Amino acid sequence: MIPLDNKWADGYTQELLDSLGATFQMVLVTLVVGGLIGLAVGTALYATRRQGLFANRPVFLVLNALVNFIRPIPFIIFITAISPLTILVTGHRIGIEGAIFPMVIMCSMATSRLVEQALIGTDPGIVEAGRAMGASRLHVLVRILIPEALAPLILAYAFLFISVLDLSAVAGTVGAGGLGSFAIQYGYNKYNDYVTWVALAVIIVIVQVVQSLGNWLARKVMHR
Amino acid sequence: MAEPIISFNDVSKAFTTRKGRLVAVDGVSLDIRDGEIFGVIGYSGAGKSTLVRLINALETADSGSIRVLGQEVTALPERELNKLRSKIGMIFQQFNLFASKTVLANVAYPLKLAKTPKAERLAKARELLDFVGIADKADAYPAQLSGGQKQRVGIARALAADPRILLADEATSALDPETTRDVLDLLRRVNKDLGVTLVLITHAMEVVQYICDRVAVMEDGKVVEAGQTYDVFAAPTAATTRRFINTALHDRPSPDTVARLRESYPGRLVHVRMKDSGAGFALSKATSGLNVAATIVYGAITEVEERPFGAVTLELVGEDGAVGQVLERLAAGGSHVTDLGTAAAPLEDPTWRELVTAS
Repeated sequence: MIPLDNKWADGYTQELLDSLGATFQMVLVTLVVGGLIGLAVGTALYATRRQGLFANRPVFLVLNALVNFIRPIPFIIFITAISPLTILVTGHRIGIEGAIFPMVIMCSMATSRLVEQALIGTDPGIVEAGRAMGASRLHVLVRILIPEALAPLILAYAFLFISVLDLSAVAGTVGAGGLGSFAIQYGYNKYNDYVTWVALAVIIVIVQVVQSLGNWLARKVMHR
Repeated sequence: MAEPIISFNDVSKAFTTRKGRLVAVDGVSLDIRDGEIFGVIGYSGAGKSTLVRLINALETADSGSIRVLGQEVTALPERELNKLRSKIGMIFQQFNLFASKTVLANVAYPLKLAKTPKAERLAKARELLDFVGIADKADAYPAQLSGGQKQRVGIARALAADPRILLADEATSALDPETTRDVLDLLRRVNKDLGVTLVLITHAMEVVQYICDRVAVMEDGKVVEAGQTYDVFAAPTAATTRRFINTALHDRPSPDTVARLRESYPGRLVHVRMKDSGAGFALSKATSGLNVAATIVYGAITEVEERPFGAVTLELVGEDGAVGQVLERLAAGGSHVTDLGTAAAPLEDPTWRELVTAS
């Protein structure tokens, strides 16, 4: 019988802060880069679909297949399966750099779906009004539709933040650190539930803050 | 005569749907004159929305020629089309305002597209909001407005780039009758004060009656009747047109109504439709010197194109010969007379039968 050692040992606080920093670094870089790629891919998905502003069946089918293919792969498998490519692109197989590359790809796939859905949710009459004014198709897409879809887009990004936080926990398996790794290493592996709970509490607080911020922002831009 | 501002020549447009090919516009030829209010009426699915979208090339024709403001629309590249579209305003049934922008920003948007300096475009937008009567709503968002107010914003926005043509796609169909009238009055001012040519799509004959100079009636993608609104009301040739007129004026009693009328008025019932102003309704003139009692039992007299128009059903009681003379006088005065017979010897209204079987 291994005794439970539910104690907050010296140095854990520093470890926790470091982990928090690693998590934020991974999540923010992934969200910004993956979020932008996803915004582009999602907008392209919306624009190339049937009856879309730039209806183009081959492009749509390729993008759609790509997203459908990558998105359902469990991240822990994806991160290892893609590692040769990760080395090629980043020069790192492990560590934060090694984790961010697969995270960015996964995030951009998820983002593209959410962006596509947010745009599909906009009123088609808006497109017609913009076109009737003489706006170019690209202008309608980028300058009119995206601002119209801003509220659902903000909520989508809040949702994504949480998904990416989840991805970052898995990144611990390739030695990228972060809160997930902290909870496993000092909590689960050392039978120290207390540490796990602390890590969990920190994650819950972050999620709550981000979601509330997202809701508040979305309400602010909605004007209704 | 000057070139029409919009001219369709044998234009067709079909869509491929899941149910097969649907011909939305079928061989339409039509001229719309500079400065007029032109109505296009038809039931939903008649092709009128497609027709109006061919004007600003939101839809492209399969065949035929469409000239707008002196340019052949069907041959224009996209860049030129965008330029042409900026000279054609459009308003919609569901308003299609930008929900994320204020009323002022909505109205100024076409000018932003035209790269007008900010101060200038905001001044113009305020001026237009004043014109449409909602200057106080400049800083509101569309969601905070009523339907009528939203359409006023739509109109102001459509006018921002000083268009020569304004397309109205069922612009009043989502509004209550009173608001409809206000918006139509505003559209009339747009036409009269600003000289903008109006093309108005509707399924409500009241709208045509109230505002249109000329009208085209569409059915199954074809224009089945077109002309001066008054002439079309006075002498409709297509069954669809008669049905529309009846919905607007309720001037012709249905067979059920005739049956009820016969219970109270057993004499000779005749339906008299005025063909031109004046003559038709000089009832006393038609009966003078004859021993015939004429009673108006049904009908409506109203205005079309600002000219008196209407139809009434009369009960004529008297000797057959005298009644016959009255009918002759009415017909000679320019009215269209339909004999419905008496309660004892009723005659069916042939036009009504046409109205019913046509649908």
